Amino acid sequence: MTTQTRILLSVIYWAFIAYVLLPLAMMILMGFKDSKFIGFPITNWTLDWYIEVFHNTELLGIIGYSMAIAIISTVLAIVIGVWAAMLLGHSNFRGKVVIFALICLPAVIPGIISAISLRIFSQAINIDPGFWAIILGHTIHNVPFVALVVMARLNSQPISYIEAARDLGADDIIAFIRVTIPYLMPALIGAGIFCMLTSFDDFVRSFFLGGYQPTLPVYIFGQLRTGMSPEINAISTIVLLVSAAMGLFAERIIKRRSKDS
Amino acid sequence: MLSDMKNQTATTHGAINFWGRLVNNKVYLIITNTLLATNKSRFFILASLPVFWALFAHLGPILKMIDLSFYNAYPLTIGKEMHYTTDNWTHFFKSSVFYIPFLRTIIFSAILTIVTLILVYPVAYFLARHVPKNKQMLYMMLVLIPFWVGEIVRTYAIMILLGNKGLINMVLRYFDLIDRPIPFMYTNFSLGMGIVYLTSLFMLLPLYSALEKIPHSLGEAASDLGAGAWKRFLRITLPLSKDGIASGCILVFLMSTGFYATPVILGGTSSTMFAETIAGFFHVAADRWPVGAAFSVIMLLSTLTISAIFLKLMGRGSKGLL
Amino acid sequence: MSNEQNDVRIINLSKHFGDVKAVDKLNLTIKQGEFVTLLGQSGCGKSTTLRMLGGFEQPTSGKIFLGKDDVTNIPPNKRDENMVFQDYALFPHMTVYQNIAFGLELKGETKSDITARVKHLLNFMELNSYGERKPNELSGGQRQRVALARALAPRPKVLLLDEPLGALDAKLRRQVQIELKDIQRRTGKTFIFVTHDQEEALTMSDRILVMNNGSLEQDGTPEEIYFHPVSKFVASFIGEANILSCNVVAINGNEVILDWYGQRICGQYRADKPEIGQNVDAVIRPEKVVCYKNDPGNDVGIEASITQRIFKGSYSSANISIGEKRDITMQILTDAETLHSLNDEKFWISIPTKYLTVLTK
Repeated sequence: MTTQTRILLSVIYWAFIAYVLLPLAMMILMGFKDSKFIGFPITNWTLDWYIEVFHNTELLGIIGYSMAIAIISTVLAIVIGVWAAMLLGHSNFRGKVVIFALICLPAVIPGIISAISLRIFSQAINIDPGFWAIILGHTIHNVPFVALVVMARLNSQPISYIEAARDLGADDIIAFIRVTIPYLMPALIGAGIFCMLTSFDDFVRSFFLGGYQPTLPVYIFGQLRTGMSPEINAISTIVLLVSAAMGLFAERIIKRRSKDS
Repeated sequence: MLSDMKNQTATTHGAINFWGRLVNNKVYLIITNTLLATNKSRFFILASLPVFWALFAHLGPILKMIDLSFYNAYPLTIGKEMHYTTDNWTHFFKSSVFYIPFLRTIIFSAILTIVTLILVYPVAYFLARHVPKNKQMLYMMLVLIPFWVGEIVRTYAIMILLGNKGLINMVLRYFDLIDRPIPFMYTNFSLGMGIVYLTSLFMLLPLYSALEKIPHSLGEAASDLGAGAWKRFLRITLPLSKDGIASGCILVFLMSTGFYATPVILGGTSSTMFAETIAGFFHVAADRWPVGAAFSVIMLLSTLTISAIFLKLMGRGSKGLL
Repeated sequence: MSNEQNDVRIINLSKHFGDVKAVDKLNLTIKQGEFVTLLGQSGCGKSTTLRMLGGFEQPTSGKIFLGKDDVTNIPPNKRDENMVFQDYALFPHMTVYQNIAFGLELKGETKSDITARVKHLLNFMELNSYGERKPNELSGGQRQRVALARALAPRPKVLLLDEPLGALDAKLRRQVQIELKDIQRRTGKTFIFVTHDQEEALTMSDRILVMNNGSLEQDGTPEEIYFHPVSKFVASFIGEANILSCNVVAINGNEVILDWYGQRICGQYRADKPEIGQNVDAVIRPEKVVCYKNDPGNDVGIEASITQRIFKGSYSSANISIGEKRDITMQILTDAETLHSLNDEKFWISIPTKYLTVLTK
């Protein structure tokens, strides 16, 4: 490889980094701008927008609502996803390919269609738009991801771990709880954090399945359409920092834990 | 009676740990002995929830949507009776208001997929082949950070970048290149930029993992044989990264067709996407859901068909979808 | 010592995977306190047999008894047999202590009993200071001992060992072989050991069961198996062997007079009786061939010359050619000095009747 190509490639890489980071950096800066108008140049700086966010009880309620949805749907997705991975990873049966394809199905359906079909479905099974409808939607959306990640981890577990547990007096359930679950932990933490973030950040499903109470992305969307308040910058920055921190944390945990075993 | 038994075991074996008590607990033994007695019953328990969930929650919504697409009206308004019809389907071809956004979405998404591929390929190549192994994680992290935040926040960030008082216009003005701000917003350009911003990671990751797997020795072997840099790339690297290209393109294409908020926020009147058309049938307080359902099925079938054909052309089976 | 209550009996045991008969109509009895080795090449059915004993495979047909109890359909968690796995299968998220306590907890023992038992085993295995370590902080040999302690902890009637030394390097392996035999002696437990390594089997076992193609080829003490193999397979599988193809001339009691390319030699049969005129294989171990500098007379000497000398340290081996023009070679094993003193041109060997085993299969 010649030096020119090397330089060219690294220029492209840093340009790409600028492309993905600059917009967010601008947004963070705007959160500290002391003016009602969003845009450059910035002459005065302030922390008022952040203070306002923490005094806005409506907004704090919305964040709590979004978090509750994220936590519940993540727990459900993990239970179902792990169960599915155990079925698909550890046994052979007729129709396994079909079940595997169906478990993965929600991952390949474009967002809008997923949201529409879930709206129709929740209506059909009498779940009113709102909290539980959103949870159902987010759970369905996250199950394929959990199942795939857990299956990958299960594949690397020596079958002898389970056999050893069985040999020492554990039945299937105890062997699963005491040996398999700890082995899956890195995958579960990673998948869990990913699911929480996807749920917390999801717009399209929350928008179509939601009732009067908006989730945070739906609320921000509404703000964007009705005229922007610089508060949005502050909220978005907080979301960005919390999300990135969680992402990095997950990444580290996965790396450390998988080295352990 | 049940609590009696528990108390008994608890008092007689005071210092036995939880697991020891559990395996000797009569109630637990009765339950496990009946549930886990045979291979068949074990399999039944293992299969119960996943199979139910796959059929009910994953397949159910799609089937219900297809079913609904043949209703004459839903939710039923007063004075109407439910019956099956194919009108909703034929409706699609009747007005350009419907099929133009559809075609626009498909073409626009296809173009954006190619643009994303061209834009991201060198980045993935650089990460996988030029960054030393121990630094790859760090370089990757820089790219990953923005992708931990959602669609809405990132779409909004693009607004700040491209707005009349956005960074780009400000820079151009600072250097006196323009007098009036260039109206980037609410155009195909802003929409395209937003969508590429949202999807590029899903192109980057498959490309990166495909490129990373190619042994370095292959390139060296080819240069021994006198192949030039370009030839080497076209003959060796590109074909070997085909799998990554295929899955990256499918992912990005499917995602691009499915955005709703981004076109609403960044797009203009001349760039209405099919997602907006579909959503329209669910917003009006009327019984037009079946039309929206029919349109959704049309879109789902077309996108999946296009993906399947694309995969076929790339020489991969249906496995590539997953 | 022998107590029939805890004998392992395998009756007509078969395991078929589709058309493949991994184990075919196997019958054996293993006495309490015995160190028995199932020896064979990979795919001979030894591991499958062990896994059926452990309850991890369901036999296609046949029965397994542990003492008086039919355990054929008992799941592994309810059998009084514990297994030491090839990869040890130590639970990576638990400490050494927790690993060893695992089986005791599930037996419902009290916390104080468990602590005492684990401490005893850690002491017994010389792992006293390792209780709080995780398996990945231990060396291969230590892991092996933890696996052994974990399997012994619940006081099983029988210990099953599935090639547990395979992951150790050669030197450590020999050391652990001796340790393992010692532990078996001190605990008095029945050990059923599976290996493909014949040296390991010879070193440790009270009894060796040689398996081939899913069935039992030979059952005997290491000495019997080594010096008196019943088949060509066993002879060539275990140790070095000269296999001479001969023709039966006469039979006298269990002594057989053989014609070996014109040379008369005398051997013994222990299994099936050969017939006069039959083509048979006669087996002799290289170290049992006796060498002479001069013709010993009495018609026992066979003239030979050396074609290749191989120095192996504590002993030497040589390939020799017998009866100048004839293309027959065999191996002899002797100490380096003796070999060195032998004339390159020619010397004499004799084949002791006692150690020449005549095989019909």
